[in-house]
Amino acid sequence: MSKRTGLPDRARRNFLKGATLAGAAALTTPVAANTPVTALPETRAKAAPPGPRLAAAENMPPVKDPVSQTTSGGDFMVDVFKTLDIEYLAMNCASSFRGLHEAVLNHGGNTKPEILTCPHEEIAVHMAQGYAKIEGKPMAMICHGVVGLQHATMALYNAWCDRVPVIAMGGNIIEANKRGTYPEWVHSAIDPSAIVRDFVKWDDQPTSLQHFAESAVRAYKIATTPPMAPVMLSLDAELQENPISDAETLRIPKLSKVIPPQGDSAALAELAKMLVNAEMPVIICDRVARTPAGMARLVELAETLQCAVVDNAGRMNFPTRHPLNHSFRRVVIAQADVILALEVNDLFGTVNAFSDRIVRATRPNYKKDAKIVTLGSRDLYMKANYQDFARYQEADLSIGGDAEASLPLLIEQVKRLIDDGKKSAFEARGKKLAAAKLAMVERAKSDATIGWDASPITTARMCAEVYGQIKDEDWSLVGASIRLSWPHRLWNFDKPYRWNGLSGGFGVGHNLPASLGAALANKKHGRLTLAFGGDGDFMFVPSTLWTAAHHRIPLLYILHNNRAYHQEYMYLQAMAARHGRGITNTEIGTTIKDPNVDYATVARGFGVHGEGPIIDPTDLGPALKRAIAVVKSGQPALVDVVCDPR
Amino acid sequence: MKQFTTRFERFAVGSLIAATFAVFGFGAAALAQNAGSGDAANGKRVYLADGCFECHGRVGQGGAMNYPAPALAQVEMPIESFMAFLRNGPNDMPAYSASVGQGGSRYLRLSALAARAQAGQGFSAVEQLNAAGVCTGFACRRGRLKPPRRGASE
Repeated sequence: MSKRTGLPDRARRNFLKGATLAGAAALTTPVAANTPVTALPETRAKAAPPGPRLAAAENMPPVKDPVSQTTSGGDFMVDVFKTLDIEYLAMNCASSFRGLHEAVLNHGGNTKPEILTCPHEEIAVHMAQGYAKIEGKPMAMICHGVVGLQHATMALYNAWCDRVPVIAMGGNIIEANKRGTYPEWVHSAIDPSAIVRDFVKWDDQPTSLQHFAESAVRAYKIATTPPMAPVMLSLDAELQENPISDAETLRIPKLSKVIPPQGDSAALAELAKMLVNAEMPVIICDRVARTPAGMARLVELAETLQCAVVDNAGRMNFPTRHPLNHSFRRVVIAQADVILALEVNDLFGTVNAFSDRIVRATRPNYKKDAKIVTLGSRDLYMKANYQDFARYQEADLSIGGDAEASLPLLIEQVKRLIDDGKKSAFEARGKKLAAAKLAMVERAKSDATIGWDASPITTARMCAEVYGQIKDEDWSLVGASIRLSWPHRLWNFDKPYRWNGLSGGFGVGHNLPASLGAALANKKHGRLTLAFGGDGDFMFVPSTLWTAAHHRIPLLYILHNNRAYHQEYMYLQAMAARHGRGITNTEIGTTIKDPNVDYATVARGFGVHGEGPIIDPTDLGPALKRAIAVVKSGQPALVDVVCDPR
Repeated sequence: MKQFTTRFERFAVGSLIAATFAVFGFGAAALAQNAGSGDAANGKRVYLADGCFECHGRVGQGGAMNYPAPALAQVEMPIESFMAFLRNGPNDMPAYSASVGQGGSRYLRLSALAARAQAGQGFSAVEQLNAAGVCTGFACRRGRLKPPRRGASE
């Protein structure tokens, strides 16, 4: 920090200034009462002759504070971001990264990264989470020292649970003597990343620009290596703001991405044998497709085996209308003799039933003699404190490796083992599954008609109205606070960007900003992005709409307004039922009524087109049409639909 | 369980049965014998006031808590099964009063006629499905719900 050329560094500068002032003061100020006097005046020792430094300080005019500089550490940091091809930097402005902020604008030209102004750090992280799952690469975000990171924390946890890369950064002032006003003290920390260390994959606090370059590239590499996760860099304000002292030696290292690990070939061969010899193999998937190739590979495996696929929809893994997609017919899990779990987040919860009763209990939903095989990267990295790893599920074979990367070899192994006899047996199995799927879809269609004209509007009607208007567009559904329900049962999710998964950590306040981040990624591809959001989720981060309007991000946001935190409402009902106390009081603390929120007006206040509240189902279609026209013109729109609870 | 002395006990069984009819908006004479001696209006009030609709929807369209909640409008089941669900439902279904279930009619028909009143344009599909005997609803087996499985255990 002190080795700077061209301009005096601040530490030295301040030292000299202090010395100068001290010398001047000695000439003019009487000896203070508490100044020790150790000798009589007449015997006063002669002062030592001044050293060259003091002599220089006293004989030269005071060194002026430099008022300009031609370089800054922030400029170099921006160059690093450009090298990493980081498109956006989401943030809420703060003094602890003012140096970097200015450099992004004026050195970097506000491109790669372009600043996204977010009214809350939680919005910034969630935008990055949604963006990464569509774009396939991380976005950066930066937050204020201490307090900004505290705001960002829950969103980072969601991204961690969702195994999504986010380059998170925070400002800090490391050296105590460089902190000025009191707010700079309360916004500084010795170890600022400690608060998020349990749910980021790696973190660092660089102390030089070269250190920053290497750590930024390393952070990117670690974040994007499966299992992916957020990373955190704490950036010293001095490092951002001060002139570059060692430009000639600074170097941005090359990024070499880690090739995702493939499962062991012998283990995959064993798995192939089990799958081919099974009577009823079933594939359960969750976060398999991390690139557009993932879905095609999974389809190839399922079609080769003609086996059922149950998709937990952590990513866009498998086409919803595929005859082998039995995600809403989970009885196939109970029928399976071999279960292959691909990148499944909560396998125990998927293959066991849970009773939320006074005595909480679970029971297996699979045959006792069914073989369970896991293939994924989840076992390769986890931490202890937060319990997102879920309950331990026994397996007969666990293959460590990235599922998407392992699928080609597995498919090859499977194909090698299939003879004509197997092939015809598989075809027969596939026909049965296709028939069952068809019946399931027909049933879903009929279920969707129940209460078609009811008000509050049924979720099914809402979804049907929406799909009717977007099905011929190049749509992308990027949020669903309505759970995996009608769209996944009835819509045709047939492309890798039709869906991008869930929140990961179920932290409320995710859906709106994450949808906006995904919409930003879709914008350049000209896709019509839409999301269903809950009113409770919306109330955490309504100012996301301002970001949407400000950056002109086209997003159709359909608010499923049940005027409650309805999951909690149901839980209270269950608690009251245990005591036979009725539900008279369960609205207290669980509902968003009195007054009802007029979300369309809120949207308009943020500069977003607002429709609603829609109470009559016949009003929904026209409102959607108007909103979609706005979105297709490049602007966001919100439609507030007053719905039945679920 | 033994302390269930409140709201549900204030209603006769027929009232609850009628509730489901009333909520789904039908009162056809053909169903009168199935509605027991209950008061449909009162039953509807029970269905809404006691929160059945919170999980199953105001028109019986179904929903979810931890797990999917059946679309009652699509379900036809013996009264014994219905009562078993109320008293000791599966998974996350809250348990309701043990006093419910004294008498009542043999079958509780909640499906096609409910849809007739409520489904509008979707009715024909529902009717066709029911006529075809296609399973309609969560945990539904051949058109009828089985009593819930108990003994959840490892």
